[in-house]
Amino acid sequence: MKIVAIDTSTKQLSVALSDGKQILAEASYVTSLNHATKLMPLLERMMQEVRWSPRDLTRVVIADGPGSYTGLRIGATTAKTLAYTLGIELVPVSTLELMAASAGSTGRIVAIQDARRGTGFVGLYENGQLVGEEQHTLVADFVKNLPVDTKVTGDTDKFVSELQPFTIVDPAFRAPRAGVLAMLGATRQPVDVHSFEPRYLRLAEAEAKWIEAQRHE
Amino acid sequence: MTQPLILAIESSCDETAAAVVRGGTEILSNVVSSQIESHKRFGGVVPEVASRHHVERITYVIDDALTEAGVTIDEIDAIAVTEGPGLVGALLVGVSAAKALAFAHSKPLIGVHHIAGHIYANRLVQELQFPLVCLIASGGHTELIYMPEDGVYEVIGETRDDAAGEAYDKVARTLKLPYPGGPRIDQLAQTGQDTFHFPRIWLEKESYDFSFSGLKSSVINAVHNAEQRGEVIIPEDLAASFQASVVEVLVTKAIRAVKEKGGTQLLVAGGVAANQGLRKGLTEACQREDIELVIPPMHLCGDNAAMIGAAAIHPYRAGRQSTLAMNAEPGLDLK
Repeated sequence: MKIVAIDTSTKQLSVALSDGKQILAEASYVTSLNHATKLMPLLERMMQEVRWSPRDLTRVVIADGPGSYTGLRIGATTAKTLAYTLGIELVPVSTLELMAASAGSTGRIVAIQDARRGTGFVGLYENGQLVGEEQHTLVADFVKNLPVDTKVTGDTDKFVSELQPFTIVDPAFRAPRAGVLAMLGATRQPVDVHSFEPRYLRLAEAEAKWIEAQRHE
Repeated sequence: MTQPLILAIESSCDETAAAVVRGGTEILSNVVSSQIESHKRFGGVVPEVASRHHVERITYVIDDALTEAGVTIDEIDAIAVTEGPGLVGALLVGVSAAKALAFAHSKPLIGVHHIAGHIYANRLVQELQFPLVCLIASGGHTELIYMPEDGVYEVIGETRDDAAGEAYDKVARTLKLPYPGGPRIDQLAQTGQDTFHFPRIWLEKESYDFSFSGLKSSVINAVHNAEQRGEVIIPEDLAASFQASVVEVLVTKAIRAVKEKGGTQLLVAGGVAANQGLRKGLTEACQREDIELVIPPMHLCGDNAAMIGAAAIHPYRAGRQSTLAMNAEPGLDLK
């Protein structure tokens, strides 16, 4: 098995190669959101270093959101085009699940991405399993009934008061890692490549307004 | 020598498109997935919605383009893609897909300027004779481009405010015509008369530049004034009057450019090239002035990927490749 794992969903770009048993190569960069220019040169260099050619690949694992819309599209388009043109498997993994898993701990953990105005993309994971649904909601509402031994990872700095009762994951383990993504996706069922889309977890603003307007008619 | 096969991708606005073109002149396939039905409800293209649709459709159109052409990716000599100008989020989908294809199969990658694509759409129907002048008219562009030779572009005139297509859309909105309004104005104009005598905006005597915002305001004022006086506007006449002004300015400046620059061909490109009024005006003027007029057939006027494949052949032959660090360039200049 030769897996390439790609995460472009947050401000960090992360790419990894794995044989399904271990992480062979992994690189992460936090840059000013220029994933479009960095992703392919980075992937090309890593492939050269482990001496794989693109045609050796058997599976693409992609963090499919939620996250930055533009970032998600760069990763999703690259991943689905690679899977399509090489005739290989495509496996999406939630970015929030990846954040929770990258924190490395067992137990109960909430992954949060800041989505402005007190809202976030949030998901609660317990020993690697999603509890309820990932959603776009007010962070204060989401965490208010959680037990105090819950850990929190992600954009915790934006929600200091809301998260005051909880244990914040150390910054060293807060970044989503493509190596972890590759391992999470190694054994999962692939999806249909052509119809694959990222999970934005939120409608485009114009679409939301249009739906709202229809409701009032 | 066998002619190179180029797989081309275009996603700069609201069409997701892929094509296979042989030698820059022969279309083997030209697949366009239009999003127009989705954007109708918003009265215009919404960039975020367009970008999402591109991701949904991109691999379908690439696959259809290869299948219809009857070729495999291994037989393709290069991957071409629109790198700009356009909507950045939309462009990025095509650029990301093209880079993935180029990387996966170690093929040359060629970034193409969207307007160069519109110009070279003409080469899919007729060989170009340099030097030539090209009139670009679309929803986002109104430009006169002088080409002394293959692959060399000199922008000699451009709009200082609205693009011609933009003015069409705004006038259509004033007349409460459904989106996209341009073709409907053209249709109405066929049966109307130029009764309003709107101004022709020529700017400075020697200028090849355009301006359409003043004309647009005149049209909107005419409608509002009529409404206030309780008069009925005949939409056909309003459309014909507006179109007469646009066409006269476009045609006159384009013809003058050909004569002053010493070309023999006038090329027309962009969505507004589908406009019947403009086609008629240009045909008559070119006959009178003994200039060869080259207008792409209707299906090559709008955004498509075959034109990108046609424009890519010159940089391909010149060995001008892009790298895997290629970015979408929403404000890319034509050079």
